[in-house]
Amino acid sequence: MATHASFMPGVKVQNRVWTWLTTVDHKRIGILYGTTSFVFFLLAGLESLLMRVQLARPDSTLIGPQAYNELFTMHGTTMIFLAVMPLSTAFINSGRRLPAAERAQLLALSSRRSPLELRLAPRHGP
Amino acid sequence: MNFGWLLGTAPDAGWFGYANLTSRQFSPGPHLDFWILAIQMLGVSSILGALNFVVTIINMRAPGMQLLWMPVFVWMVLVTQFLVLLAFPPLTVGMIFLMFDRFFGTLFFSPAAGGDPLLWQHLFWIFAHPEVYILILPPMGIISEVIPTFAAKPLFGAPMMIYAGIAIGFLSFGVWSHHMFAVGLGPAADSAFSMITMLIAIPTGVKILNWIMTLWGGRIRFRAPLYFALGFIGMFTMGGLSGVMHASPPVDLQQTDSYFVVAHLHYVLFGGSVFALFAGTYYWWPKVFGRMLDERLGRIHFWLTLIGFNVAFFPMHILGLLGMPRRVYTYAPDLGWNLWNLLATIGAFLIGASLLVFLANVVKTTRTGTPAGGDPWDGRTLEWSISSPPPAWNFSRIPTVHGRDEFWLRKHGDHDGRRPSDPVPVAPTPIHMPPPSYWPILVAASLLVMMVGFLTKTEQVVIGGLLTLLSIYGFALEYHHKPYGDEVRTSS
Repeated sequence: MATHASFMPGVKVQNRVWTWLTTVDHKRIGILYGTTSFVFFLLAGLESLLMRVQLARPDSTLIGPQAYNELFTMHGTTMIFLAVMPLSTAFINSGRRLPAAERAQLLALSSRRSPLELRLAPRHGP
Repeated sequence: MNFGWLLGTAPDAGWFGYANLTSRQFSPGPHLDFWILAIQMLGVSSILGALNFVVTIINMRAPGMQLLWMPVFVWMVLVTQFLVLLAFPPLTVGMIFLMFDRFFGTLFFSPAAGGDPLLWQHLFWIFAHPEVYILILPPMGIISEVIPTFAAKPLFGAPMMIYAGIAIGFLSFGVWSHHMFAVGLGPAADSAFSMITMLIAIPTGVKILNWIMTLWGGRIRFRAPLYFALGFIGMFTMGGLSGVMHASPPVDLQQTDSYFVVAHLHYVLFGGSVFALFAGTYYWWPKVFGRMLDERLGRIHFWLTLIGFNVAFFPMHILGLLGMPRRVYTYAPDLGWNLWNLLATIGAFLIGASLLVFLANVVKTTRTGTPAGGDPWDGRTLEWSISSPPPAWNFSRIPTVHGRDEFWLRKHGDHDGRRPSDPVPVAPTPIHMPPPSYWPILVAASLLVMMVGFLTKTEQVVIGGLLTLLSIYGFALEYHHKPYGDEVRTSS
């Protein structure tokens, strides 16, 4: 389990995919969130384009009613749950300001102590 | 959920899946089973994420960081995560009822057996109205970071921004029935929900005023993030105005389930959330990847998006007023809807083209973009004080905070020109980095095995469930086996 991110000095990269799958670096998790949700954003956008092609002219028969039902359901559900919500999460993970530092500290802490010992007051110095 | 496409049985009952349409009787195939299982999984992940963010924000602040000094983005995230924690459980309950109805033949939503289809609408909307604030509050936070940076002024009335965000969070739980005015809940309920809905316009108006006052008299630098932020203010305000219109039940009765509502929701979700997310993308991209996005392509992206967005969604207001209902797959040629529908389609393709410009920008700058440096925008907050991209350990020494916009204070001083710095310079201490872990992905994979089991074999549900439990325990107890990560010595 000693595979490490490539930007850690002195550690050989063993398997790039594996380091991304097992990372606990909040910034890399943020990038994973961002990429995944952007792909879903494009997919849901494609669904809306199909709907708009169908509606561009009256009495269009390109897409049947069943497929249309599926398209608007998936467009809405995907945009809300798989695109916009996790895109925000991407920023919360990686675009974040101070807690960005703190999250690493949290992870570092939780690997050191029992979570019950986490202090309620701001921590003073690392 | 998207597996449904591969099998030709994608979910088909609308994103709010009203009861009866979702029963086995009216939707026999596995369409909605995919939907239920996927949303249950997403609920689990959202709630776990929310717990993590709340604990991190409250417990792990840097020394000196008072709650009211936290960046407004972090505040909006905090409010949002409380909304996630409180809003997802009702959805989960509704989904469990629906799952029992579909898999085990219960009749929660069947009036013939003493159930009630309205129960679904209440459970769904008491989730889904806070959900739209979950979608808009973090983007509002992004705007509250972008505008002060590019106006070179502190955020106008920052504490008020925070209070307004909290007020929106509270009010969001008291408005769900405005989605159900057409149901006929009676004048008392309709009036109450209508009034609370209109109240939400007040904190939202405070926010819009404060953004404009932040720009007022500032040294404004027009860069791609600010373009998108200004687009957000304009488009979101338009969406908000149509929202106030159908906060009134008599008006809503005319507009409900028409394209007017489709126009409204896209003005707030696309004109609001998506514009702000692009503002945030252009703003933080250099920090995350160490290279600037191309400014010229960024502006082309913005103008294409703004024009395409308005060409696509503004005609929908008119379509709605002309009586075109949502969710119809076709219409007769003599209703006067032809031109507006054609325009909407052209606009949708313009938006598609704008995304291609964005992708081209990403591809181009990944290869040849100018290196960003630590602080490309003259930033106000501390993430700009470290390198881009940041090292794995972020800060080699956690800075001490002396006020709002700490990094700005350190660079430019306060009113009296005083510049705070860390109290005593000490030799850098080694930082312990947590080791990588395979448990998180095991938890996710075994939960997927369990959920797919509902569609295939009962044994698979049991196996998946046991694996999930096992990996959760493995994840939770991991630090006992590996108390220390590898040590990293930082240079500064």
